[in-house]
Amino acid sequence: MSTRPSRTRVVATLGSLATVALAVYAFAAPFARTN
Amino acid sequence: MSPGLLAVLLVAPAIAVAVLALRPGGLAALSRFRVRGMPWVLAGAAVQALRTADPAWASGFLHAAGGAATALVLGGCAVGFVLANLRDRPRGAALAAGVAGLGALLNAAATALNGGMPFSVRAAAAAGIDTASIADPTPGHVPIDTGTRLVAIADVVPVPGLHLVFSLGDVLLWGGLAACLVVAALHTQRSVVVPPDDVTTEPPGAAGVHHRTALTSPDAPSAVARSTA
Repeated sequence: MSTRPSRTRVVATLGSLATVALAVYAFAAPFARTN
Repeated sequence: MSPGLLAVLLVAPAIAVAVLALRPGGLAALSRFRVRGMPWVLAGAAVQALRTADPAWASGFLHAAGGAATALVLGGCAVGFVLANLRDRPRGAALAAGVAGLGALLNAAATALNGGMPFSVRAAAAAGIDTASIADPTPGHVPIDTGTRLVAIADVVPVPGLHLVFSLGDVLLWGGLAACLVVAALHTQRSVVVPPDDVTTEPPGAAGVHHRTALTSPDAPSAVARSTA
């Protein structure tokens, strides 16, 4: 039996991870250097 | 975007992927559920990008009520995002999402009350941030002074290698989001019923994990607790 993930599942996984990364960008507020 | 900020974006997904990779089928479980609330996140990200760019045409909104309006909008988006992810989630994932939301609200509160997220100048120097960046900080950040409120939840923790300073709210946000991903994925994995043929390939003691019963439910007492009850 093949264990290769389907494209749909890969897209779903990347979508969830991207949403979380974007949430961090939106709601976290670290101070960093500007250059 | 500085390398430090890029690392910040990836910290929660990276922690979740690392934890799930340690479990058989953990990464596959990550694909069986969706993180909801994308519109709230997109709206929040748009406001954050606008605040960082600080264009003149958006000055009326960005500086309304001393900058508090922006923080309140971001806090509202965070609440919307969390609420969107509470429905049909296991208790642990809902709790983790709540922790992440609390972190976002702490950041919003410190920002709203100070006209920008306060940062410790001493911590910024300890993090290796150059004096020019400290003297002319990114829009949305203000240095801590004697009039700053809620200093405890401001950016006060330096990370020298990444040249950034983070807050308690940031930690709650990162940890909460990572935990939410892990708990929701593992719950999905436990909910999958394995066909009888596959059960024989499971290691001893693991087969029951795939069949949710009253005893294998996450809320059920452990075997030790049952035997001593």
